[in-house]
Amino acid sequence: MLSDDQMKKNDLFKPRRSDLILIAILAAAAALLAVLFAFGKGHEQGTYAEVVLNGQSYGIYDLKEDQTIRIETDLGYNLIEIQNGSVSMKEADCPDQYCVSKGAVSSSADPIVCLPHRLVIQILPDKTEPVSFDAVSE
Amino acid sequence: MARRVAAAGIFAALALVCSYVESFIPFHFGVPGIKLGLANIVVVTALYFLPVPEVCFVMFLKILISGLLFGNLMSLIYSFAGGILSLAVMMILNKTGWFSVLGVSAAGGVCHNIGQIAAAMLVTGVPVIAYYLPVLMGAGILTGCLIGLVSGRILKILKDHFSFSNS
Repeated sequence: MLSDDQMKKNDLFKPRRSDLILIAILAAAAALLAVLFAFGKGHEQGTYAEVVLNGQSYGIYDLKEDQTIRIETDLGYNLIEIQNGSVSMKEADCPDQYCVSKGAVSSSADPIVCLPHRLVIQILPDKTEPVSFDAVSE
Repeated sequence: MARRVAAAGIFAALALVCSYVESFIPFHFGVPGIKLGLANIVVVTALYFLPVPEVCFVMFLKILISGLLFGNLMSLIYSFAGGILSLAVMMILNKTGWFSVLGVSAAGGVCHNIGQIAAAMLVTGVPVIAYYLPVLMGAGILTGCLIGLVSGRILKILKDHFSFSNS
C-alpha cells in the first residue's frame, strides 16, 4: 500500500522506461533459455520412453515396438500409445487434457506431462543405457 | 479495522468472480500452466490499494477457493508455489519504487510461472519439465503486461475516488 505522499511524488501507474527495460531483460532471459534448450544436449531422437510416476520410474518402453500401456492410480488413469517410433497420450481422465492434446513426441527435449496425475513420459536419449529395460519388458 | 476487513473481503470476492468468468474461456495451448489469470488484475490492484497483510490474504483466498471450485488438489499446489513467489517478487519490486505497475506485474507474471514449474519439477521428480520454462516465461511476460496495463487503468480511477491511506 502507498501513502498519498508517495502517490504524488511519482506516478506508479504510468508505464516508465524502467518498465520496458525490465520487460526486455525478462524477455531476453526467456529467449536465452529457449536457445540454450534448443541447442543444448539432450535434444535428440530416442528409442526408449520412460514413464515416471510420482517421481519414480514406472517403466521403460521400446519405441520400436508398437504397444499401449494403461496406467491406473488413485489419481486416475492414463492410456499411453507407442506407434511408429513415437509416444503419445491416447487417453486420460485428467481435468485439463493437456497431455492428450500434446500429441505424439519422439524427442528427448519434448516430455509429455500429465500434472494432475503426477505422470511424465520422457524420451531417453539414445546414449542412455536402459538399465531396467529387461526387468520391465519381462 | 472494519473498513480493512471489508475492503479485503471485496477484493477477495472480486478475484473469485474473475476466476469464475475465466473458467468459461476455453484456453488450450498444449502447455500446462498457461492462463490469462484475470483474477490477478484484482491481486495487482490490491498490491497498491491494501496493506501488505490484506494483499496476502486476498492472494491466499483467491488461490484456495478458486483452486477448490475450478481446479483440483494438484493444481492447488502449483498455484500456491506460483502465487507466493510472484507476490513476494512484486512486493519487493514495488518497494524499490523503480518500476510502475506495468513492470511489477510483468515480473509477477513470469515469477508465477517459474514457481509453478519449480513445484511441478519437485512433485513429478522429472527435471526435463524445465523445457517448458521459456514458453511459460514468455507467456508470463505477455499476461503480466496485460494485467499490469489493466490494473494501471483501474488504479488511476480508484485514486481519484478513494484515499489510499485510509486504513
